[in-house]
Amino acid sequence: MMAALFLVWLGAFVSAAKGRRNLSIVIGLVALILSLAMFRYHVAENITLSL
Amino acid sequence: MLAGTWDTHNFVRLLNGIGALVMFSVVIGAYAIQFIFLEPPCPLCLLIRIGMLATGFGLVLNALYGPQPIHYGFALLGAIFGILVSLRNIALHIVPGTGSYGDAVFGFHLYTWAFLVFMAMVIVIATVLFFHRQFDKPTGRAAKIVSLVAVTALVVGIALSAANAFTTAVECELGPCPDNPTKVL
Repeated sequence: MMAALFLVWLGAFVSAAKGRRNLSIVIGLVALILSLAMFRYHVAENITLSL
Repeated sequence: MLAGTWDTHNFVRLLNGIGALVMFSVVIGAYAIQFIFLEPPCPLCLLIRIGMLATGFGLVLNALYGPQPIHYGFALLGAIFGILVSLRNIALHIVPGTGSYGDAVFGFHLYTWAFLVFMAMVIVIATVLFFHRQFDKPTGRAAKIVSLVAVTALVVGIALSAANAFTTAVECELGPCPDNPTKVL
């Protein structure tokens, strides 16, 4: 799953290289949201915090 | 190489290219530690690399297409994502005696260094945003070195994304990455 995430980032970089700036920003934002979801997945255990 | 118009626009483009290369060099350093010291990256470590790539991506856009607020916004979001992940990684081992992940480099663990790099990048970007003339049209042709640094950063970003996709696929296969990985490659 994480490898696929890097592939999405690769897509963003390649779009930027091809001169498709707007597309690269859209792909980058999607990749960022997916990265956040992946982060949430990896902090799924119960956390007790005293704030 | 240096001949050209050095207005704020072109100078900030060069700064952004260098900033992107700095972010990518941290990922290259992490790769060096992975293969030289045979330390496979944990899932949060991989997410920190993504934060580095995301921040570098925003800066690469600035270097390639000229400074724009949306590019800076992207770089800041990437840095904030990296701060979130690295803080989580620090918090996992913050209680003395609860161990750590990997060996310390110059006194800090890699996730602590990552947190400091992300914080430094937020401060640098906020400072560079003070110079509003960077958003004006360039008054002349940029020096060759500006484009050279921008293209180099872009190529390094592409190479690192592809390399990480490959090594992560080998390490984690198709499922979620293990919390305590054992495979380096």
